[in-house]
Amino acid sequence: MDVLWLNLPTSLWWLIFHRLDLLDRLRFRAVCLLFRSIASQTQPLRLSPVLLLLPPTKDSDTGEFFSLADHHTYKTHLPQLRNKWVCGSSFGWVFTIDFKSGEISLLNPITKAQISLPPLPAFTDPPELEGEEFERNDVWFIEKATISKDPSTSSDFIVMVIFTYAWVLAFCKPGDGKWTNLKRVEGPCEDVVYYKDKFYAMTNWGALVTWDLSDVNDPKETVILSENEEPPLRPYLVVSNRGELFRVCRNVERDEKEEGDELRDENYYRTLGFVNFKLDEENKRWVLGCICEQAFFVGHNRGICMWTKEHPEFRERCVYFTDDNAERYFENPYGCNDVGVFNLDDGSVEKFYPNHPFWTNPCIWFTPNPR
Amino acid sequence: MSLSPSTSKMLSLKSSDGKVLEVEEHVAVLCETIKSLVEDGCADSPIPLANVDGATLGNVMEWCKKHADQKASADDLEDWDAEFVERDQGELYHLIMAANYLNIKGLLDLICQKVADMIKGKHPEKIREIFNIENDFTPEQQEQIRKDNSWAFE
Repeated sequence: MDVLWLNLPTSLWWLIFHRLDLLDRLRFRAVCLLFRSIASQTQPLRLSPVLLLLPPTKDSDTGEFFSLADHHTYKTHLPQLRNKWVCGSSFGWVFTIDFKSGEISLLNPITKAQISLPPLPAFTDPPELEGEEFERNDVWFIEKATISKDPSTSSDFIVMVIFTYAWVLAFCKPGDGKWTNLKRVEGPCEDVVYYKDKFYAMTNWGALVTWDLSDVNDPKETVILSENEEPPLRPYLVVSNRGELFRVCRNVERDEKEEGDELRDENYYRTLGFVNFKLDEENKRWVLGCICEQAFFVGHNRGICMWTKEHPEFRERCVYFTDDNAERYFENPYGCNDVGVFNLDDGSVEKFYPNHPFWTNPCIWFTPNPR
Repeated sequence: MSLSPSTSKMLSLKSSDGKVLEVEEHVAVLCETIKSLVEDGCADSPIPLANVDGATLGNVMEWCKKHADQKASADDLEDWDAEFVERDQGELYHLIMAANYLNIKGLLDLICQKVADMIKGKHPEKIREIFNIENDFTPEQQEQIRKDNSWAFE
């Protein structure tokens, strides 16, 4: 029985469209003119290749993404994010910890696929903790997580985390029953990224070390740069689209309380700007680096770099940042408010999300991954 | 007017191709369109349904009969519905059109969900192929759509 589906009344296609989720709506929109006009009736449907995952609302099954392409917030049914703490994103997968059970998963917010990892109790205390007290089931036990490769395309990947309290590293592979600690040689680790087949880790005093985990039973650490006298700016490691490793340093100011400003107290802080250095591998030093035609995105996420010519919604030579000041944002009366875009050309900081609500948890950048 | 099964009488329904189907009234009134006719006392015998062919009408009434059965549990209905929508595209198309014309919300929801499930996880080319839809975009429009959400088409 040959039928012409396009003869279906638009009102029925509309009912069908409403049963689709974001990714399927984007694809539906690309089928034919009729479908495009149906899809354009509710929202513009332009999702940037970097999206801001907004903090999950307590006890809600809705996930929200903010897109810089149209300054629109998209909602999707995402019960997998319910009561989860998100402290990492790489290749479109976010690292989540369940507030109650301490279960840890990687979640692709677009396809909703999940990969289970060993839970919080599967960590052993690093010796660097030196008897510091912390709750084993406290989700803030982990500062940041990053992945070596896209889990959508390979199951041979490593997840690396930084402990909040001791700033040391631990890792696991999918299928592992536990997390393995890496012994700290240089200072407290601030960021870690997989680059050229190794994990590169950065301390806030300028040390750069690599971890070669090609044999996970015998991790090899190499010190590229030792600690030095550089000012302790918050560093992020970002791999640029030209394949260079950047150290993006965030200058955060803590304001003094001003008279009459009751909200402002000693926990108030704001980002003043960034300075970018790139690694001169041959001479083992950092040199000032240019990010022409590129934009960087930093925060709890694996550093992201985007070409600005291909994606005009992003501004060239700008650093888009989210609040990842885990030591302070819970005490900050403004919430996780230190988000914005820093322009390297004129040194200005602007908001990209004006009048956002009060965020008690941080938001995070991720690159939507349809696979 | 009471429409309970115990007092249900038979209604005659006539399809577009002239087939007449005898259906219990409490089953047929799951179609809001028929229910209005019955309630208004305008239910001719047989009721002409000009937009529904005999085979489709049979399928629709099969669904109504199952859903009018008050002994059926929710789980049972769910399983039954899942099997009910396992049909070829032609039948689905006629069912969705009939559910719309006869105004049967439950059946319309079911078929819309089935069609949505056929779209899910597929690229535009595949969706065109499944529903036999022609790509009527100009190359410029095509390029713009790709650009808007390039990551979604990887």
